[in-house]
Amino acid sequence: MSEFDEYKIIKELCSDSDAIRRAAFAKVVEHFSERLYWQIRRMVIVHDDANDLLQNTFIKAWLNLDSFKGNSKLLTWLYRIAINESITFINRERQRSFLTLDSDQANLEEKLEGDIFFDGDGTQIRLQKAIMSLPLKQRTVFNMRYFDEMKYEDMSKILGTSVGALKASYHIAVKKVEDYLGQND
Amino acid sequence: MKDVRLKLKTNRTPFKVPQGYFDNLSGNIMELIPQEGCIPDVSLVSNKVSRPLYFRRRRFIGMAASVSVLAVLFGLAMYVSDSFNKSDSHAAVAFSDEFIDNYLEESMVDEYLMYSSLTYGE
Repeated sequence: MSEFDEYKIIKELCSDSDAIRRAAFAKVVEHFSERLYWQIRRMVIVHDDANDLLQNTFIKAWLNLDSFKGNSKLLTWLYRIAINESITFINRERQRSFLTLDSDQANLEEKLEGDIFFDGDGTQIRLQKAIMSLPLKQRTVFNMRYFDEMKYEDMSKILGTSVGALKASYHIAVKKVEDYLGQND
Repeated sequence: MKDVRLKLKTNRTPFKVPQGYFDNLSGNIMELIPQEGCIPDVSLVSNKVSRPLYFRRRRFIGMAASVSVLAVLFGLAMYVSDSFNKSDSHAAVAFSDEFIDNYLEESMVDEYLMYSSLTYGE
């Protein structure tokens, strides 16, 4: 993969030429798509859903480029769109199926077990189920911190929540996951 | 130890993707991107990713250049005007009332001839 110069890419995205802007956006897609995919996938579990949401994320980003003010990194801005898309999708699924929090967890577990693109061992399945037992916001924070090792400052920009609140949310989530794993040994 | 178990995280993700999925991903996404798009609003960009100074200050530089040109033209006009005024004052000194009276007296020009010449001279 060629070197990604964010300053140069943003300048090209500001070009008056449609061809240059489109080529620059293609570089953005190439550079960030895999990382965004995994974030979305951990939230919605199923590959096909993650693929659809990733496509929606980039289409929305392209159509709303004028909302990018440059006061955050491109990845932060894209993460925010991806997280919003994922949360909207999960809430829509809940409403459509009249799911409560408990039945939502059962629904996700069912999806996990039925997903042909899930290949986890027993420990990983239990970890995923523990994560699914978390409320949506805590699950998002846990995934970003635990798997992506994202800084709290970056998470704060993406989620619009204070660093202190995110730290508290993550520590509560870790405690719940540990308790879940302890109960299901 | 529960804490230890949670910290023993593995990098291997339990989630899989179809074979070659990431190879074609960006191409597949770009096929779905509409032709029409819009331009980032970079007028508020931070120093790290801002446009070069000329692009950001293009309007200001244009206005400053216009004002400078106007100032130079105004200064030039004032200088020329001042020069004319100075010339007029010299003429006034050279052709004072006393000088003209003396001239008329010595040249034997009476009032009729003087007014006639002024009238025809116009």
